[in-house]
Parts: sequence; structure tokens; C-alpha cells
Amino acid sequence: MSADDPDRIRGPGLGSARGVSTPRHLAHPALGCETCVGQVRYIPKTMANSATPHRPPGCPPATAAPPDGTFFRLVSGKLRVGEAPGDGEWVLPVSKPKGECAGATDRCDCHAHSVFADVDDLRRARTWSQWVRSKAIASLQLRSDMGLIEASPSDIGDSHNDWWPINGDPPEALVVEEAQA
Amino acid sequence: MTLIPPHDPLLGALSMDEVYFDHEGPRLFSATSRSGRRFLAVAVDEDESSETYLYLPVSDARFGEIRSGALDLRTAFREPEDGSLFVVVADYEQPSRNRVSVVSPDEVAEDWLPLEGSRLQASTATRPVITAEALSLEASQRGRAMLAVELDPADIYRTEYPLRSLARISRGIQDAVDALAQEAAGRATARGAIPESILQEAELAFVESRAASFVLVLAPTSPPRLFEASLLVDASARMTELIEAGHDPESLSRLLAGSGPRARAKYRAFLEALQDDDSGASFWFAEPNTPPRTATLRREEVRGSLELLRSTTTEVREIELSRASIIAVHLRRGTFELFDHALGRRYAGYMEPDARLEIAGLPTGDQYFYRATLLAEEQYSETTDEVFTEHRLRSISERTETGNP
Repeated sequence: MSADDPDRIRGPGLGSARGVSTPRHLAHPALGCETCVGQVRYIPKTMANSATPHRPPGCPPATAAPPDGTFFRLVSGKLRVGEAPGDGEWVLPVSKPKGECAGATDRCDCHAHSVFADVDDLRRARTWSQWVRSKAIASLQLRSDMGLIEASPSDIGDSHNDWWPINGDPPEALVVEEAQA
Repeated sequence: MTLIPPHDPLLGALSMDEVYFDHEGPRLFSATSRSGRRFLAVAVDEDESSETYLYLPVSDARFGEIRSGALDLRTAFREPEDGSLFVVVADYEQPSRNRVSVVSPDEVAEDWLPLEGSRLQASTATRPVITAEALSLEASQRGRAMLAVELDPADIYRTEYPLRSLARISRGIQDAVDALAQEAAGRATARGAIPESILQEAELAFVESRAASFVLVLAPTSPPRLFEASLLVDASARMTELIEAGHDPESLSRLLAGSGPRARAKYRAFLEALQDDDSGASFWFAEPNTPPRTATLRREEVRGSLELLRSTTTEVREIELSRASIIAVHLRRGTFELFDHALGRRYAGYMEPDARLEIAGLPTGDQYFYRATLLAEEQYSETTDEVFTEHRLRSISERTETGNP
């Protein structure tokens, strides 16, 4: 399996299910190409002072589009309704010290945040997993100038999206549901 | 090095199979070892440097039940087939590694388990899949015509079908094929029994069920090759044309105009059985050494075909009841029984999907009055000259002017 293989993005058997038809090596022009001379490389502000891993070639994919609307994601279970998630909640998976993305600089999805278009997908996941129940749910507003997004539903279909932020400012976000455990 | 899923002597070298929930990493997923041993894994805990998962070993059959939602996740983790499951701590302290321990369900913290009643509900083929091409090959190998009917109701996640509904749909298929075969034989009649020779030639046998969603595989009961270019072939071809014409009202009108009242009534009954199950249907008909014929009527096209069929015939009429009481309702069966106080008459039959929603929760008994719209549809007896009327409930609402108690 090569780094350009869509299946590498989230595991075997998912690339075609997500309808990804454009080869992943075609980087989206809005974010430039990190390996191309003369183009600007994005560095998230929250990590600008640390060693930010470069995205792999073709990341984000050319099929990604500017976001627009309300999305939801899991944040620290210590946060209460109405509180804003801190900078620590916006560390890209590739830069976290743990998790399957830790150090996986060649995986495009590890350079993106998970955001869901439908909060019910997170509520449903709470019935399955204690890890999810231990998290709060935050809503965030994403505008078209805040990066690129691509739908990446799971095998049973959901509203999961990969969001590649374009500037370092954290999005407007507020906790809407507290942790259940 | 990724720790999810693990490569471990106890579990085997696992590779990711399917991810059901992902949030910056898989949180509920299945993984399979090189020897084919499958696990369902769920994230349950984390700290600064580690993430903890429960890995449940599952047989293929158990996995199908869990994946389709027949077995809830909590029960699955509480009652592992082998009596044990695995706690896997993915520890990212250098050097990163997985710490794996075998535990009995009793040793697992209660709050680590999925909540009561939580289910996956993913469409799951629990029988081998068949395609039109495979059916065609099978027809050639058997030297026998084969018919497959795929049903795709919205709320069925396994290769299973409620027997009551299946009986109704199976009968709908056979009755429609019988009536079309009678027309193909040039001996169509609106009433009375269809001649024995035609029934014999058009008779279908259930061969097996297949995925996906739920496929009825049928074949003529007559001996192989005896009826090549037989009435069954002609009737199946006509049935396929009717199904296909569901996309095109003009073609469907033309085909219906060329059909007799018995065939229209039987095809209507088949469509109603589909509608009541909220299912579409695909037909694949294969003769030996001949390309298969296929046609699909999507779920949303069933209603359109039915409406057109009803509007182009005198055999269906609408009845308005202004003062009716509900005597009985069976939501599971989809049947109703009403009493019309104006005419002192009782009506019973199946309910249209919208009416099922409207009638749910309405009180029964003589003291409650409703407005109702019924369809009265002529139907033909298989054994006698009798033409009888079947009723379907289209809508029902409370009478506002009289004020129910």
C-alpha cells in the first residue's frame, strides 16, 4: 500500500466506500503543496512554535472543499456546557503524544480534525463506548476561509468529516453537552 | 508503529477490518487476524499516555448478529462465546507497546460496557451474495430457468425476512406469474380457476435465500428443459417488463392497458405487499446460456406504480367514511377493522403506510368516531367464479365536529 492509496486514509475497505475518486496525490490548491517549491506551507498557529510535521504529498486531497456550517466534535470531559475548548483541544492528531496518528506524518487524515455534521452520531456513539461518554460535545462554526473539509463516513455511514484547518486561530466553539461519565 | 489493532501473541497479528466509529482514531471497529479470528473492539478509557480498548473475540455467526443489530453490544460483551475477552492498553510511553490481558466479563468495569440496548444495525449479508451474472451461470449449470427476486425493506439488516410478509409476497409473485402465464397462453379469463396445465407450467419452487438484501431464488417446479420457451418464460418476461416500466408511467400505462383484469389485480396485490413492507424489488430472470433479464423497482417507485395502476382501472374505487369506529388494529400485521355507523357496515383489510402512522394510538370502541378513506379493490378467486372486494385503509382522522370523549 502506498502513501497515495486512498485506503491508507482510514483503514482498509473505506476508500471506495467514501466515493473518493480523485487520486490523493492531487493536493488541493487552496492549501498549496508542501513539497512544491514556491508555495506556502500551512503551519497551525497553535503549533507554530513546535515542530509541525509536514503534510504528505496530495494532502488534503483535491476533493476536499471549503467548510461552511455547524459541526460537532468530542472535547475534554472536564468542560461544562457553555465553556470554550482551549488550545489543547486543537492539537492535530499527528502531533499528539498518543493514538494511532502519533507520529504518522504520512497519513493525511492524521493532519485533520474529526468533525461531525450531525450531533446524533456522537450521541449514538456514546451508547457504544465509555471513551465517548467520557467526552463533552462541542459545536463549532466553520467558515469557508478556515481550511478544507471532506466527508469521511465510517463503514455504517455517518456524518464524519476530516477537517484540515488553514489558519491557526481556533474556531468558535462551545460545549453543548457535558460528559456522561 | 501503530498499536491499533495490535500484533500480539495472544490476539494474533490483527489488521483493521471495519471502522464503525472514528474520532481521530478508530473507537469502535472490527479487526481480523491472519488466521481469520475476528474481534470487535471498543475504546473504553485513556490517560495521558495510553488508550484502553476491550477486544471481544467473535465467530462469524455472532459477528453477523452483532453487526446487523440482532444482538445488542452490551450483551455481546457480557456474554463472550469463549467466556473471556481482552483488555488491551495501547501504551505510547517509549518504547510504545500493547499490554494485553485476558479477563472474564465479570472482571470488566460495568461502565466500560456499551449501554443497555445499544446496537450497530449495519446491513449485513448473513447468506452468500448472488448477482444476476451468478444466477445466469447457475441456470446454465443446472440446465434450468432461474428467477431471483431481491427485496430491500428499509428496516431489515440481515438476510432474513419475516415469514408472514414473505408468504404474502411469495403468493403475490406466483399469482401474478399465473395470471400473466394465462395471458401468454392466449386463454385469459377474468374469473374462475386458471386451467391446471397453465398452473403446472407456471409453478415456481423456492430454491434458497441469498443476500443482499434478501433474495428469493426460485425455479420452475417442472422438470428441467421440458418447458424451454414455456409460459413461465413468457410470464417472467412480462413481469420483468412491468417492473421495469415502474420508471416510466407511459410504458406502464401501455402495458397495463394490454393486460386483463386478473393480471392487473394480481400485479397490484404484489405491489401492495411490497408497499406494506416498505420494500422495492429487483427481478432477475435467467435461462440457460442466455443473458439474464433484470429489472428494478425502487422503494419510492412502488407507490407511483400502484397509484398509476389504480387510476387506470375501474376495479379500484375510493370510499369515504364519515362516522366510523375502530374495532381492531394490528400494527404488526398492518391490518384494521372499522365499523361504519352511517351504513351499519364493517370493513377490514390491510393499511397503507400513511394510515398505519395515523391510526397508531387512536382509541378503539364505539364511543370514538373517525373519518376514514378506504380503497375498495376487486380481486379474483383462484378457485371459483367469485369476484370479491378487498379493502385498504388509506387515511383516518378524528372527527372534530362531534367531539370524541
